[in-house]
Amino acid sequence: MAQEKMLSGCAAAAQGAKFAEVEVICSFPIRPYTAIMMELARMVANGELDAEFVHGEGEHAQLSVALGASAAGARAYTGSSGVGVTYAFEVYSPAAGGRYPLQMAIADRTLDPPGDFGSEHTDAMSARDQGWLMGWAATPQEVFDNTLINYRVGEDPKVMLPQFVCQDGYFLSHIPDKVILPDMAQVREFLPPYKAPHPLSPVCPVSHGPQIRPDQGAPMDAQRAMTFLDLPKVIEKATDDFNRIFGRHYDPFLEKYKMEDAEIAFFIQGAHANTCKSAINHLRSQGVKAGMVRPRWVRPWPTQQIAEALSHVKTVGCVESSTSYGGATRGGNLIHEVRASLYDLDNRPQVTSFMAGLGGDVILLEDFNYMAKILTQMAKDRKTHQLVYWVGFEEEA
Amino acid sequence: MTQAFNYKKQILEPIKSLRGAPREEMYLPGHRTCSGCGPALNYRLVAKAAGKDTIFIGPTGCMYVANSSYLCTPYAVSWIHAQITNGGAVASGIEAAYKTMMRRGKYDGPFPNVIVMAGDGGSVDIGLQAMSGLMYRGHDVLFICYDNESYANTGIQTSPTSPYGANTTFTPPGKMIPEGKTLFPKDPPQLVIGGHPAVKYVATTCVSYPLDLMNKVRKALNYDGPTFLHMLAPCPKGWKFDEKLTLEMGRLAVETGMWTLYEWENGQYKYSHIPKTYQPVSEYMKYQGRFTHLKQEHIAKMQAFVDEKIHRIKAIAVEAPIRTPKAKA
Amino acid sequence: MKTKKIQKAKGRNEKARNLKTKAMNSKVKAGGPRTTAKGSAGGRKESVTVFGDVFGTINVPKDRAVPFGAITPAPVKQQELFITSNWRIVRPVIDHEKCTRCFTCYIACPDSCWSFNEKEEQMEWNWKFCKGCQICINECPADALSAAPELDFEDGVVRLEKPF
Repeated sequence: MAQEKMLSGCAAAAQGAKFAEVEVICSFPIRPYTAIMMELARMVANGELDAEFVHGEGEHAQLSVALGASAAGARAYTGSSGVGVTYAFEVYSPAAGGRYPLQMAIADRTLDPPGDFGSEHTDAMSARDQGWLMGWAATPQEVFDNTLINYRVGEDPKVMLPQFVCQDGYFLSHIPDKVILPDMAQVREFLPPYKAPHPLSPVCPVSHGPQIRPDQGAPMDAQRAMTFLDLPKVIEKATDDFNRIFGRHYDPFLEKYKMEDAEIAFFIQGAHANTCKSAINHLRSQGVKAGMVRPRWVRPWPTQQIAEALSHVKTVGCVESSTSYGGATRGGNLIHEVRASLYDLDNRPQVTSFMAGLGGDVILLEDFNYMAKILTQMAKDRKTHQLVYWVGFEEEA
Repeated sequence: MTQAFNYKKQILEPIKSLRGAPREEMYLPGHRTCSGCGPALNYRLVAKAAGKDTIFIGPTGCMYVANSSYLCTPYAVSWIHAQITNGGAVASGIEAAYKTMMRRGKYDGPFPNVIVMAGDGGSVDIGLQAMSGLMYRGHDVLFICYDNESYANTGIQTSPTSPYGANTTFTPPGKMIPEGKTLFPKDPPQLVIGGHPAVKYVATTCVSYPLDLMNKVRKALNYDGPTFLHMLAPCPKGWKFDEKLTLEMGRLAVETGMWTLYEWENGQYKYSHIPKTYQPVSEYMKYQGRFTHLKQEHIAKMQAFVDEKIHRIKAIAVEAPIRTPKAKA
Repeated sequence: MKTKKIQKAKGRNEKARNLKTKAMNSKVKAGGPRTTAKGSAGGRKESVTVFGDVFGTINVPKDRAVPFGAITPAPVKQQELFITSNWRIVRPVIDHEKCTRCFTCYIACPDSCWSFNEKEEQMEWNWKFCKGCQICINECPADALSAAPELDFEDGVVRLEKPF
């Protein structure tokens, strides 16, 4: 029986795991994702969810327990935030290269030093090279939906990859919004049970991960890269099925808002995109033809889709809620990949970036107005004056 | 939280003789371990005792790299590579998966033997956290520490179980540090026994006493819950002795008191192979190149450490060594 | 999984150079070139196409094939992919008269190279994998084992033209 509830992002993630009938969960507390595990613990204790709830001794252990469970043939679920995400780093490549489709929920959090509970995307973004699927949700509904879609895509026999299902800490993880929970029948139609191709079993003995020679390393890498070539098709099919079964309207890769006739565009991921949409409405009422592209996936990066979506605008502003100190733009991470996607277009737009939403900052409407002013000026001048704007930090003291 | 669940397990009978031991090999010929490798023989005996309903977890180390070079392994049973840091955690995940799969009817075999084969580093140094987590949570897993007293695979570096005075590439003897290694080792079984209420059975074994070893493996596997075995695995390359003396070294370790064979279950200690008179530690050390740089005063310090251990055998806890006594003639 | 060919370096460079031309002419994967929306302000070029398949192809040649996820089947009797007999310079020779069938050599070998042949009722040695460590010779309580140089034997591994 489909029902509507007010759920925070954390509660929605827990519901997603419950509806996905996860089999092994490994917990360890760290703000702000902890609520996901507390909710799952409650469900397991009172019989709502039949799963093994393992108390990991740390985030590295969480990933390791999930990896072992996935290798043995169980659907595994774990999660973390901030320095927990970076502590588990060693296990990310073994999980992806070993082709274990476990899922990790990340409610992002600024990395130490020092302790900062506020949201920032750097924690998960720093793992984007490890070979996992990765994407940010913008609403609790999308957190729930992404949990199911990621299992479906990750466990596809052509894919077999682990997934980071990310959401903004606090802004999304802790603020409730309307979520429609589906029927179990719908979920079972969409998401088949996990079938490991070669599970660790006494029945058909296998060896997982023997040592290789260096000359066998490149083919291993190539094999993993091949999967990412096939991935977009799997994502498209899964999203189409999801929309059909659950009555949603997700574009497989991007959310586009008022892009049809946009001249300036914001490129922004996560919950702050909601503020961006309000800002666009306001800008439009002032005659500024603004639009927004929100990527639902960071890995695989939707190169062609982004090129297509941004091909006709004059300027793009990437709103960066993550840092890449010393990087090409001395700013964040998204701009590099956006520019790479657009580089070969005729009449490619000017692209700049705006550092906003770092450390747990709210991105205000006036911040978007400020960004729009810069983007409009860039369009007029047909020139990128600056690669990065540190919003709120540019005035001389 | 593991829910109460009765799962069927096989009960392994004690092995009465070498002839009566199962003939089937689960650790097959065809691995790149050194000629005369103690850990390899260990592995073979453990695999033999455990049988075919087994899943091994192999944290990085000699028993990973040397065994699985290249893209092939000698294990006739299922095996998975783990990081050196997380043997205990990966095993926990596998055990939890089997519990839930059996509860849902997705697997109908007997509950498999889940065995971690971790080196000393992967057990009590870099792998300590995961091992302790496993012991604490009460998973039905056998954690084996095969102790070759160094990080051998990377070229013999000191580990927390390397003995005092050992020459390793991180503790080379020199003018400033004549003994090489100045620290005394951790005591892995005591680590486990000392603070993990869910642990059922802890024992030490030596590769030179194969029946004893195999039966302790079976006893540990028969328990429902976490068990720990500390296995002495002499390493010809690391300890620098002639490779044909591997089992000889194991026997000398026991006969000099450098290694004690015991079991701990239900809070009770039980000893075996206690020599009537202990040989001096120099009898053990003289065969091993890792000790040839030691002076009398260092050997005396080692003897004092062992004497203390032996003296307290009933009380078990090994303390930091007492001051170096006068060297015995 | 579909396999495609690895581009040789030369071909890759060529492809990169052709990309811009290709971009202008190629169709978008999902069908049909996309053009700008109407209402482009101030004399901008009308149409822009976005590129199709820019990721090229990746194919692992047969002689470099690796198993999926580095998962290999378990061996059954011996691991033929790592034969180790060519390590040894001596081999154990058994005197079946002296042998008491105590099974010590059988249990002492790290490479499982001694087995009991039930039919012949004697210990059997594995030529293919013995590393010549001499543990069995050292352990035999009946003095039935001795070491002999590989060179003494017709099938001595030191005589092999080519290692395995």
